[in-house]
Amino acid sequence: MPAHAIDAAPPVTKPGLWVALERALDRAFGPAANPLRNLGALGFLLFWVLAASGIYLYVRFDTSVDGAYASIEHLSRAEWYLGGVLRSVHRYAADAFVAVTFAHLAREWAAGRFRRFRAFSWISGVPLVWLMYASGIVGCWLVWDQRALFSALATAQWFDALGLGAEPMTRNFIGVGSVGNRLFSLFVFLHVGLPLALLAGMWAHVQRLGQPRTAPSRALALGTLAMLLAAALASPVQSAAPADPRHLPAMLELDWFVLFAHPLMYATSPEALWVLVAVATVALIALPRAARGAAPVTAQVSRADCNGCGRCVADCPYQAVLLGPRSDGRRGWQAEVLAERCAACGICAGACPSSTPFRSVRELVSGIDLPDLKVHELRRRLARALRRLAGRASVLVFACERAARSDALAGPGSAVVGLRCLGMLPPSFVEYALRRGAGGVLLLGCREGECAYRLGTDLTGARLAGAREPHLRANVPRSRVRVAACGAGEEAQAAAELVQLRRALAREPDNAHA
Amino acid sequence: MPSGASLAQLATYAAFGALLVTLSRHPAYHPVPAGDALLQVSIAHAGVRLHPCRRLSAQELAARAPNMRAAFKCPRRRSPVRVSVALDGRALLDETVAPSGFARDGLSTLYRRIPVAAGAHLLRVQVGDDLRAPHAGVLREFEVLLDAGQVLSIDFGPQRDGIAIS
Repeated sequence: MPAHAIDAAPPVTKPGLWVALERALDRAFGPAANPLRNLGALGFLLFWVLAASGIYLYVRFDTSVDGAYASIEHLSRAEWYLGGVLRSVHRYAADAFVAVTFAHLAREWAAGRFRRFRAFSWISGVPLVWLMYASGIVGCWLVWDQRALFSALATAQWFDALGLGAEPMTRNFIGVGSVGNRLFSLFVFLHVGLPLALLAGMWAHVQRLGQPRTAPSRALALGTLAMLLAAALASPVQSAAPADPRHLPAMLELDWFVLFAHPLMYATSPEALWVLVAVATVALIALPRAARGAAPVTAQVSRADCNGCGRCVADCPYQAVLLGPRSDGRRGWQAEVLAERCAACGICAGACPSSTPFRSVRELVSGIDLPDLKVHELRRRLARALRRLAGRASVLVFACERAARSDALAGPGSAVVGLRCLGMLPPSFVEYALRRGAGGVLLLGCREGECAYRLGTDLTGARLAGAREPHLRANVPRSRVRVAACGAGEEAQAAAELVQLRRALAREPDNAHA
Repeated sequence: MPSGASLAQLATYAAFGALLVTLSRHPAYHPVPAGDALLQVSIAHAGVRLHPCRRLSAQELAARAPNMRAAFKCPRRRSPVRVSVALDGRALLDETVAPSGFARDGLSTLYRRIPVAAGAHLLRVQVGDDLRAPHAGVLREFEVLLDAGQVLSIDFGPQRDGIAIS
């Protein structure tokens, strides 16, 4: 019987529609430049595009109510080649930011990434949606055209429904000359302050992530910038007629990404829109608590075996491990696990230098370990699997339980050892397997960009390449080690990877197995 | 010659760009039906106080702290304000608006947008700020000629000619 199962069957067996779409785009872009796999990083890029274009527009902007429209018109028409293009890029980047944000939200929701250790990132993202819309809507007002007046009046009407102010906000926008320079200065202030608050929120949003990706790959960044520039040149953004409270055009070209709430409010009522927004906000915030599920085990530190090296801290994908002063009277540091952040992925155990199976101790205890799948148990399972292997084409498969199902890989000449995440495998286990009889080692992890614990596949690759500690020793023949990135549903590819490794092993000269 | 992957990338970026350009201005929104004008009723007015000020007796004053001995006690509660708007004899709006504030002593505020057909109309606006006298209040009639897309604002301010349109 293969030493495979860690606990229940792999939770993901068939990719959903979103994953299928991501994989389709992988073929065109590759995972690193796939926009659907990098929505968060894309959001950061778009924010910086907005900031850069916004700074130029602000420098050239007349912040008086009478001069605002004219200054934007001048930029758009007389200086279309720079100011006009930047204005259009600014607008389209804002629209793209909205689209990317909602796609990001939908992706994380579809993948169930809001529970437990993900709850902070999920909940901290909810106010960002508010801030995004507040920034965008106020930005629309700065043009001070008919569209801006319509939006300002609709927003004021929405807030007036709360009945909080002594005087209705709508009255600021009704009469001719009712909007003064001071109120317009407030708009400008808000359009600077709200995005700064948004940036602060985005910073907080990624604080519980180890190695957060806040910058897309160069290819994706250049492609996105080129797309925004092309849109700006092909369809420059133009103002509507100047704001005039005595006139309402029969038709308005609304930016539906940002201003969709106004027609929605007029189709229902301000109160209905408040209820909708409040329910959506509360539902999003409550989702992690409503869908908590069973509490996972959490990694535990063995004080006696932890030397405070900090590798587990550096590799933890959810900032669940910190270094604190030793509690055993010795000088130095020791790892501490924050249980509520721990995903029980075991990546910390894979990073621990004491997780090497070569230690000649009866009970192998790592500095940090998963209580339900200790490194000792991993070594025991490996030893049992190795007893079934013999011959230069025999293969030991270390398989992530969230990747393609590995059951079928176990058979004559191959055995499978299951892992919670590929990143929980200390590289020394690969060397151990090769020295103890395996002809080759196949590391089966999630498809690139699909790692259930974010970093498992990447960290394993870096460790094998010697770019990250703990690394696979240089004298281990790389020709006998193969990394296969096969996601759920890609069992056929996993089997093909095994076949290819076997063929390669069979072609190996004899001294490679010495 | 570009590869299939490059063409697919180009198509994806083009599709996203087209989505941005399209939804940033289409479909067009019609805030009022074509050919209509908009009546914009915006009232922010404090109704009359429901109870008159009362001079405190010497006994009542003596019972108060020295710094609280104002001669009059004026209940703060105000009357709701009733606003009626009719066009060519057809009622468009008839609402009674409660004063704002926990003590119901603030402004009664109302903002309504009412699309109406363009053209010549007889506009009748009535504002009553004392519901103890329901037939009292200010009434004005206007002959208006509304263009399509015109916004006619109706306001009320006793200090500013009473009912005013602009």
